[in-house]
Amino acid sequence: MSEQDFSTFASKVAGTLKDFSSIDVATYSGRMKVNVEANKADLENVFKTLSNAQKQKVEGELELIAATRISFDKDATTIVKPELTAEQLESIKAHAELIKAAQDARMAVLNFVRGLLKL
Amino acid sequence: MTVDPRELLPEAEEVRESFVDVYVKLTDRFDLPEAEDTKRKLLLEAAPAEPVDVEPLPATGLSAAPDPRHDEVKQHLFDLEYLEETAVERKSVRPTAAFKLALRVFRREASALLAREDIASLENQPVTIGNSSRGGRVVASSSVLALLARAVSTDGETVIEHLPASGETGLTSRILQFQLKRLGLFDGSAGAPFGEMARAGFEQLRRRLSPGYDWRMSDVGGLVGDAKVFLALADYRQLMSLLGSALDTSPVLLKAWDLDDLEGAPLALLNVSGDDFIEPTSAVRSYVVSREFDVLFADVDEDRAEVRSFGDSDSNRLAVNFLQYALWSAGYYEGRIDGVAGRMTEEALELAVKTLRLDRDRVLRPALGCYWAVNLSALVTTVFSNTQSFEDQMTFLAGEVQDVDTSEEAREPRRGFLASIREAFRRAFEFGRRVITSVSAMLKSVVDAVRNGVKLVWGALETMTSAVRNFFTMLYRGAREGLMMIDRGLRGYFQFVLRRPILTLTEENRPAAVSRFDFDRDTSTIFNPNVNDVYLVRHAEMCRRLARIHSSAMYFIGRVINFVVRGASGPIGWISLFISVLREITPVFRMSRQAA
Repeated sequence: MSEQDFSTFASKVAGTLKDFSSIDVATYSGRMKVNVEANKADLENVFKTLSNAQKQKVEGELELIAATRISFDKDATTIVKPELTAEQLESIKAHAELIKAAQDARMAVLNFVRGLLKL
Repeated sequence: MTVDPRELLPEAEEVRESFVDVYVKLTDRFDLPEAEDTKRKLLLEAAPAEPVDVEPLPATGLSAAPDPRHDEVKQHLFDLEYLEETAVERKSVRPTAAFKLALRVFRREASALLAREDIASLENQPVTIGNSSRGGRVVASSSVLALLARAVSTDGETVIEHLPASGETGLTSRILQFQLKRLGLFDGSAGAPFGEMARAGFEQLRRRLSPGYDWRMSDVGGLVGDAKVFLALADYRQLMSLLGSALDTSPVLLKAWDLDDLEGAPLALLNVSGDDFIEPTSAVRSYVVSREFDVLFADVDEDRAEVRSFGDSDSNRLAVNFLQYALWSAGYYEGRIDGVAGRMTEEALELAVKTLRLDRDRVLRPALGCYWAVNLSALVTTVFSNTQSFEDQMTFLAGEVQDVDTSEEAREPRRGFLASIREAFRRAFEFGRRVITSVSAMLKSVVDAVRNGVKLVWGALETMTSAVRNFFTMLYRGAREGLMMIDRGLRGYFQFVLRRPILTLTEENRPAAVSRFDFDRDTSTIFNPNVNDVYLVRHAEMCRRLARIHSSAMYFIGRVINFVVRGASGPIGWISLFISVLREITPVFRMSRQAA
């Protein structure tokens, strides 16, 4: 592998890493009914239908309980819904666990890059 | 019920530090200019947070109000290559964005550099360091710029112990590079890794400086010096501008200097048109001593500021008398001993230098065609070959010179002597010409033989190079194929394994929670508020365990890639990997069974 190829590879890795410079965790609560086509009853579509393009296929209410963004070149921010119910309070604890899980996953990616390039 | 959002702010320092570490090392190692902006932002955010107890920062920062010092800071930043030239030339009442960014980056780097040095030792230096308003971060004012630009120490302590190693980018390296750049001995960037170019510039500087500055090089090429070294660096430019290149050709400039500490030195500078000696500085002394001049006669007209010919001055006549007498006594001079140095004196001097094989620079040197510096001590000692001291010789000559017999009878034997010397020179020249002809013919034969040998070796080298190139081409293709396979595998892993939704069902098969857990990007979760909390906890725990499995998988993939690319993976690594995967997977299976 030539030096040029390796530099190009490293440049791509750096570009990808830049996309990984933040972690977003969002937690919702609520009921939701999704109108899916018969042959596309896939759980993945639950989240796809949250996008604007497929809003017409969603019925029900989703409520944002908490959202956290950790930016490595900025500060960490957290938004929490005021006036939580007892059930939603449990969701907050789960939200904290999911943040830790997201950090674990990000560390895995970083360790992967570190080991790959012997950094 | 309300939850304070600050309680949910995660402790993300470990992952943040890892990210900055990986990103900075990656950009540094592979020299990725497109990643510099992101790197700088990350470093700014990761600057040291420990406060340092120093003086408050004066108002030299970037206030919105116009400040005449901004131009000075701009110039410093430009000198240190933190700011483009266009940004320096741009006139603006208020600080521009580029200016602010450059200063921020400099402050961060300067604070990091100073942190590695002993900040306490800077207390007596002309520098001010202050705490910023942001978390007690050390911020250097513009006087730190001055420190880096001048790098002058005044307390006599050792400043540099070793020349920076290749690739080093610390404060010492930056200071040396910057100083060398100011002196025109280094064309690179101040702040770049210390390399051969800076080392060569430093060697050039060391050779050009006088040995009076106590330069010493250690066995490993390091520099051992004290504050005088930096003073020398700072003074060097001014010194050279005073001396100028004219010093090599015209010591007329010597009259401009003051010399108090030259007494006792083996040096005398005679100002023949005035009453006093010319007074050089110690720098001149060092120069002259280094050139091994013992006696230097100058012929200077201070009023007209020009140099006259060697023997025009009455004040110089005694010295010329000595010279003519010495040459006459040895048989090189046949003119009158009158203290006036004309063409015959010059020819006699040249003949003596050639015949006695004297070092011309030690004995005489013409300058600008009308100036002579004569090492009379060396000449007289060589000519007479006696053991008398120079002072004794001069005393003797001063008495003898008045009684010289310059009659035709006295000069006749010396004419014969001169003729025999000229004949000897002619024969020597003829002999030399024949030797050169023979040697050139022999060299031509040798060159032809070497040329033929080189052709043979070159052919063999071409064959070997071709074989090696083919071998490495094969290796390259194999490695590329391997990496393409890895790339396909990674894409499959991310598409079909990672980004699947995670669904937790209740015992009645009702959805309790669903997460889209991308692991490498965003995480979104929807909880059903009408199920037992136990399912929420179980769902979150499942996600964490899957994250750990992901870690193990990434570790495994990394090991495979290393195995393919570098061909190195030990058996212990494989065993530990297998155990860690089992440890993570087992509870997941157990939980699945319980859920079922």
